[in-house]
Amino acid sequence: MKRSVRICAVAGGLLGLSAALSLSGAALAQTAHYPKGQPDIPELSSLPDWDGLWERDQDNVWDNRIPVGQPQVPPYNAEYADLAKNGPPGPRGSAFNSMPGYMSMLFPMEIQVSRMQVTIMSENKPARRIYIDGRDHTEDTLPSSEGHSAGHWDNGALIVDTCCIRDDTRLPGNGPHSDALHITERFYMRDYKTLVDEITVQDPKAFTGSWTTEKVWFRRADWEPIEYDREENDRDRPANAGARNGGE
Amino acid sequence: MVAYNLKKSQTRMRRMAAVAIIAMASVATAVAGLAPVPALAHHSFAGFDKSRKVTVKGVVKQWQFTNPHSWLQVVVQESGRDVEYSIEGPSVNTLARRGWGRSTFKVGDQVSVTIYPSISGQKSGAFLTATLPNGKSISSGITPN
Repeated sequence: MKRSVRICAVAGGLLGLSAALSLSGAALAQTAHYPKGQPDIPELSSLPDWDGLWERDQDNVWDNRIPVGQPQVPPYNAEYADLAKNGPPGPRGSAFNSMPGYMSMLFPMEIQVSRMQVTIMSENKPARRIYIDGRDHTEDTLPSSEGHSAGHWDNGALIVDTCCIRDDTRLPGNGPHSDALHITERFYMRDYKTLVDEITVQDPKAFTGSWTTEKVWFRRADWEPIEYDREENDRDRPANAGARNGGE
Repeated sequence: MVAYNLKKSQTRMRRMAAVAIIAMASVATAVAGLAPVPALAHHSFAGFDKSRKVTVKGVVKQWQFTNPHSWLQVVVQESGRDVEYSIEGPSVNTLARRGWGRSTFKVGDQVSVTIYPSISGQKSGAFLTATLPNGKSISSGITPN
């Protein structure tokens, strides 16, 4: 009897310790940080009807407002203009998989809105999460390719602040950026079927001003996601001779 | 079997350009008033000769409705010989949303396919349009808004 009491006490102590750890979120690198001390969750009925698939307008380039053939370059300062021209190529691959290039999508954008987050997906990308439950970045937020996105609703528009993007990722056009890269976005409905994302990119260490664009998508209520597995029939793969030769 | 000994670099460039070229075909559709979307106009066209359109007529050997790109294998009679063309098209998700499917082409179908031919002279190309046995014409145009 005595022994079981002791076990219970130890277990209870451990439970309390883990609870204390989980509550001290600001002290940990990647746990939710709520400046108000607790989540500030929007009412379900206040959330917009954005769920589903959206087809992008025009090309999957950074800025469709720039005529075809004209360069699309960030407003680099002299140091970064030189780095963009003469520096080593980035080690992190496609600019389409990190912010802000993530929002230039080849395939449709899928949105799911919950009370905690707006999730953005596309068939050839990992998911992007925009937290809308009152959390914010911390000084210790770990850098990632998509960065850390905190948003809130403003009269039907979603205002998003993104920080903490790895400094070894590339901007659209494959140019470099610094660890000070910072992105703000405003998602809003132009009309019932048209969603717009105004994007402003700032990098105080690399830019002389803001770099902006506007992404436009059309609602495709009857579409559903379709698997995109690029390994399925990649004819560059030596093992794929069967498909290449018509299965014979 | 022909047209399968491309150098890898050429092949890769062709793959990357294929979707762009096919999407460019939709510009013609846009002019016709259906889809005002100059899709992928910024992309490279290396690997295909977009200044030329070639129409090949033959028999479907296989329809690979696959990712990352689809492939239509067509056997064409050239100078009394069977020559197989590899015709590259967009990904499954892109085509499915434009009404294409696994049964768009059947083995043995007589088809007429218009392509941008490969610059290297291989028996291959980027899909633009096709006329099916029932006379219906299909392309991979963009969804009208």
